[in-house]
Amino acid sequence: MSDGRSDGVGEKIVRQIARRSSRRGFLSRFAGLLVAAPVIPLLPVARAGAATRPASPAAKPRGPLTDFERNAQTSDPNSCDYWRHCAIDGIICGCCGGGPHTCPPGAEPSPTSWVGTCLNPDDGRSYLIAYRDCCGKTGCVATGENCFCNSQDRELPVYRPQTNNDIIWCFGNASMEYHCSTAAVVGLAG
Amino acid sequence: MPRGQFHYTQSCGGCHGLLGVSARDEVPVLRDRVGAFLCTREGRDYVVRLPNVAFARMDDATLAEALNFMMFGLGGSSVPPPSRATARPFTAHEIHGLRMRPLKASDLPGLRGAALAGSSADCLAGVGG
Repeated sequence: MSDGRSDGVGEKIVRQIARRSSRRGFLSRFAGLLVAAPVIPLLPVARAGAATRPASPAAKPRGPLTDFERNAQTSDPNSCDYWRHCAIDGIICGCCGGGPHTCPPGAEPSPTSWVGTCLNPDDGRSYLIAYRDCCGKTGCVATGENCFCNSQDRELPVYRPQTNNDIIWCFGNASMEYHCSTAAVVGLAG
Repeated sequence: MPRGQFHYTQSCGGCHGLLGVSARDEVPVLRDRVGAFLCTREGRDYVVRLPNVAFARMDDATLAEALNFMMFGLGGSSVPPPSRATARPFTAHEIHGLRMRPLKASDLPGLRGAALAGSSADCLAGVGG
């Protein structure tokens, strides 16, 4: 190996080291990073992170949606999958000549109610819903196809009766005869 | 809605009424009455040891918030003045100890009378209301 050849190899190695470690090389790579920076948050990983972040700092973390919540709609209050009906067990009064807050003629609202918490898919917020039974009249024979409901969000078995909605919530009325159920919004949850 | 009111509404308000009044013959009225339990130490203990309170699906801190809404939010004229030592808000620590000893007797009216027996008539004014 001649001195000239070894010098050439040595020079090549030194130049490569110099290129990798020079301030100019660092600056050129740093500049490249700066140019790329706006693109980095658009990568799929960053988007996935943003998607799981709460909508606002005040939003409380919550568990996965229930089956009811995944299928709830906000346009037809006389259907079991209407968002307010996440914990209703009975016949919707709107199918019987009443409304979401009102009993049909001849039926009397119970002073007691079963309270549920339902998610409104339109605004993403949860509301307290009072299911107030209408009593004192024989059971409503609803004409609609989707009027007899048995939703079970937050319900527990009947051996915890306070948290079970199979019970007729007519106590406090002159008659325990069940007619239908209303679903009134009584507050924003949280 | 404040947290205490939310948990009261969700877990208690269906029967007791959203404003503390519902079916008077079946469910005790809370509005302008329940604060009287703050007249005595025994009254405070009694309320927390009631089975539906002690076994409520709430952790100690949440149950304290719900009870404090019940007492001070619904109790109205029955709440003793703050100068009375037993009229302070419930804490999670106090709740934790009491709910470990839920009432087992069925004579709740008798126990209620005994819990309030040591109090003065002026403090209990709300009970008969």
